[in-house]
Amino acid sequence: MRRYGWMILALGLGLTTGGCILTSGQIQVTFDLPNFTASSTTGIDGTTIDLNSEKEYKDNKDKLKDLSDLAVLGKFTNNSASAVNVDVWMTTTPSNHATEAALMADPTRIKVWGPFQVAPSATKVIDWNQSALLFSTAGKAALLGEAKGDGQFTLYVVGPAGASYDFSVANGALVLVIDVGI
Amino acid sequence: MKRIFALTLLGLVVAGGAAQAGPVGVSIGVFGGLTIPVLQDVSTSSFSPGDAFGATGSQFGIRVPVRAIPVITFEPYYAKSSYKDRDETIGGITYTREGFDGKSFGLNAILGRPDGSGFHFFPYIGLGKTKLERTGEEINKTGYNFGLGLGLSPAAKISVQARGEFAMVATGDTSRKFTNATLGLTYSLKP
Repeated sequence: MRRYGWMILALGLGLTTGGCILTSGQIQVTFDLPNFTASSTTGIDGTTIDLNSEKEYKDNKDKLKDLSDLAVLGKFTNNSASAVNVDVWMTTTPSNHATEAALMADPTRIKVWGPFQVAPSATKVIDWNQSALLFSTAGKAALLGEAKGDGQFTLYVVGPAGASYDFSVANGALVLVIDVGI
Repeated sequence: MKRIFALTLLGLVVAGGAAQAGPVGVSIGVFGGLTIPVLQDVSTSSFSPGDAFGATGSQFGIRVPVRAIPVITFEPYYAKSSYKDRDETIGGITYTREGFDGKSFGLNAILGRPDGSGFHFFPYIGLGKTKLERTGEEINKTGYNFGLGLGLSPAAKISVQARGEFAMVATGDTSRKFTNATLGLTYSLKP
């Protein structure tokens, strides 16, 4: 009987060696974004996000382990007669760039998401699943870094560098599902 | 992965060593039932206890109980699961997030015999590998489970089992957790 006792103990240890894996969960945090416009001629909008402004994040920040799911959501309207590929960039330090050139000169810029194509003169609501696929590895890592850091960064929505574009984003949201040890 | 190999090896060594004590019994069974995500993608600002459980999914698979030693039955298993999509309205627009599709394999250690005669209970714990996939997210990690089964043998070589279990997939310092309730039918190949 002692042999079986050791076996059960070994399996039991296997269950608990992961630390707090039993007492954990995935919490969804949703940040409403203001309406964005982006134009190669008139300039771009940025919005500074302070994750600490969301209770779900603030309450769980110290227990945050990872980001398990991400999405940029919203309604994209292409005001141009040619198709546009929309990208989302962030600066890890809060900023207030008014042009794409200024954004690209920021050393803390990172492309987070995209490209999301919108047909000429069309409005398209992005699908959550498609959005989850459009995050770059560097973008995910940067968002995780911010989530574990001061929680403050600025997001920009821009078109392809050097191309002519004019689009807007309404009802936008950034959705983060955070892995937390409870 | 090393842990799975180590425990499988431990199981085989113990089973192999003890096999000389008596004949090895082998059965084969199929099972299916419900699986419910626990504490996944929840919103804590409007949280109520019912929100801890996600939409019910389905699970089915195959199990092969092997009785090589008294008291403990080793049971390799393979299971597939499918979780429902989730609809959520954000900024006035309703979005749908795909549910996971899961595949898992592993080994259960059962106290007693799941396919024994009469009406009986059997607790078990298990270890395996679980892959959860949905668009934009893939988890392929070690899985753990433990539960309690209820067995009944309506005819010779045939047994019916109901099981309730808690399963989780370790994702670093956290985990994806599920509760499962399944019904199974097992046929004894070798007594």
